[in-house]
Amino acid sequence: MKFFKIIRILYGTIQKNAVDLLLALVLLLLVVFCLHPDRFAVHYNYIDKQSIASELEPAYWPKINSCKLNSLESKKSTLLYPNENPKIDAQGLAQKYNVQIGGAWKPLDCKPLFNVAIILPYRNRLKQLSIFINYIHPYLQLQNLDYTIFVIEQSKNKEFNRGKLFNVGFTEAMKIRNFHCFIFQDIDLIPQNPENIYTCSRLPRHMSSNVNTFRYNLPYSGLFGGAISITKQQFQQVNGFSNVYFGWGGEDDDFYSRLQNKGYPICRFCPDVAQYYMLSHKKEAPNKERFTYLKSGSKRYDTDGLRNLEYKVLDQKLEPLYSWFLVDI
Amino acid sequence: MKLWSRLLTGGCFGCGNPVRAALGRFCGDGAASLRHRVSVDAVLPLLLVPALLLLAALNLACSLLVLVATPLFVYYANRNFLRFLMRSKFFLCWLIASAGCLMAVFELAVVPLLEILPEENYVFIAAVVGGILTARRTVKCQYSATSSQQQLFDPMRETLLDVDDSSDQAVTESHVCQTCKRRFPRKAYHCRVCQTCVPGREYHCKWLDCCIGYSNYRWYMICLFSSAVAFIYGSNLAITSVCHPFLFAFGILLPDDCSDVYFQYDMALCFVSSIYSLLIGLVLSYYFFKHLWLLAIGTTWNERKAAAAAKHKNQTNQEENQRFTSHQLLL
Repeated sequence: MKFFKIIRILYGTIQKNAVDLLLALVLLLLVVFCLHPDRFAVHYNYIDKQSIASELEPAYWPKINSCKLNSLESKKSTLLYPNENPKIDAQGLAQKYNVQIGGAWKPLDCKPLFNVAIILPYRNRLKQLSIFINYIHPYLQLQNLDYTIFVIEQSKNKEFNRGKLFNVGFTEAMKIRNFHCFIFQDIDLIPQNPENIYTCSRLPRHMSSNVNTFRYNLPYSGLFGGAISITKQQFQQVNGFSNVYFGWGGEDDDFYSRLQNKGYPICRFCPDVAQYYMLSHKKEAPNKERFTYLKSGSKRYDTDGLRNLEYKVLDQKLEPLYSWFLVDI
Repeated sequence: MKLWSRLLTGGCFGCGNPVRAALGRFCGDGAASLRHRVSVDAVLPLLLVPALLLLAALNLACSLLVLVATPLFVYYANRNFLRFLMRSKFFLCWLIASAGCLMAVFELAVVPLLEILPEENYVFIAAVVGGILTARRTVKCQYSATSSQQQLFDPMRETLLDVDDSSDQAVTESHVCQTCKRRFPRKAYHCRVCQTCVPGREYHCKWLDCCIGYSNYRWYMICLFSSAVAFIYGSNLAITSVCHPFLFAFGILLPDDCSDVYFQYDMALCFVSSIYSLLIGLVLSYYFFKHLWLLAIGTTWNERKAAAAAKHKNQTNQEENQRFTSHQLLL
């Protein structure tokens, strides 16, 4: 009986304060909605400045005459910005920066620890390309890297396929030289901090975790687009990027799940090192099919990628500041 | 010290049940009073504000047109048309509609871009909640003649009182309002809208539909401050999310290229909302700093305005006198 009495009292109070209770409930839901952490950018685990050097994976054993990581010793932390109206005099620049034809450079006074291929997918953005190339050569030379820059241009007949262009770039670069480390990067991303060393760490690295267009925040922890670094071995093991993502978006998330599938965690450098400046351009409309591809992505990890890559090189040229490939995919 | 004591003593405590206050009775009461007396001028902004925002997001020309015409319209409405509609809820509803729309845009279009950190959101939400609660408190704590101990002026009683304690400061510092026939402290001024004298009256705030005086001055200032913070900070968060930002200084982001916002409708909506929010925030901070300045020179908005009006009147009188005399001389 006592139980029923309690119920009745409860019912009475609820009935009396129904409006208030309803209001409280609505307000509570609103507060939960407004503050729910899943709706916001994330904080992430990162390698702090001091341990960057120990996390890198050199291509060669260090020797007495090995190069030092200049940039890691400099204490300055001012952000760099690109010159948005660069001179187009490629020949002059190549001479000034001592870049070999085809966009290769290595330090002469010491033995470099790393050899890196930087793969840039490209179509129809000449101004951004020249801004990027003008900026990146002195930036990379500050880091004493042995590097070569590849620009992979897609021919006009299909939608842009970033992932496939990366696969093509990887294959073509491997024909030229046995590179140890690969950087896959968009040309509109400018690294702002010289400490963000352009070579591979032990784990595949998401380099552009702090981009200005994302307000220098990381939208979600599974983001692996923009600029990434990965060793040759790791890239071959995950079978490269998927070839099916035509149009904007999807290939980076797919690549992340490929890495997860093979058991590679990813790493990032600390936020103030990994700062990037994105050159402004129109946002592309995302490809709507990307979600269906993403869902069925796990079935294609082994069949779709480097192993079934088909393309045709229409033209190739050693430009003064980069190696250029025009491909039909 | 005396200046600041106004701020410190101006608060009112124990206005109603804190839990109920926390539940945002602000909106509840607004809705209730609307139900009782649905008037066109109160409902109009609830439709007009969202419609204008949606219209402004169409393209650049629309944005410019709306963002220029709307403040002018509101200013005109404030100056002329609504002078005759004394107790209009138009401005209160406009404020509620604006805040609601901006909040909705922020939560449904800006936050899903995943570019805002939880901490930034906490600061923003704290400012919003602070603004709403203090606005509510400002309205609740407004001076009302019925609840106070002021009594109708009675000449007989007045003389008696004068005899009784002629040396009392309270009496010498009080005066009798000509309009409402009550005795008030000297710094009380009559409000035509509230139809009473309000001690330490600044002005009648149409946006909150209440008079600002000693009783709610402190809450009003906190409300101005936190809502200015909310509007400006929210605006900055939104505009740096949709535009191309750069690091200005001290970790502050500012936009430098918004040329591509009109390619997507939701981006344009965020952009227009953030500009609108910035405008509101700037007006609010102008009021906040003006009040701080008035506080510093030890006067109120009402007194300053009255003084200016008196000066103007004197001047015109003098001019007229001069003209009159010169006219006579000519004759």
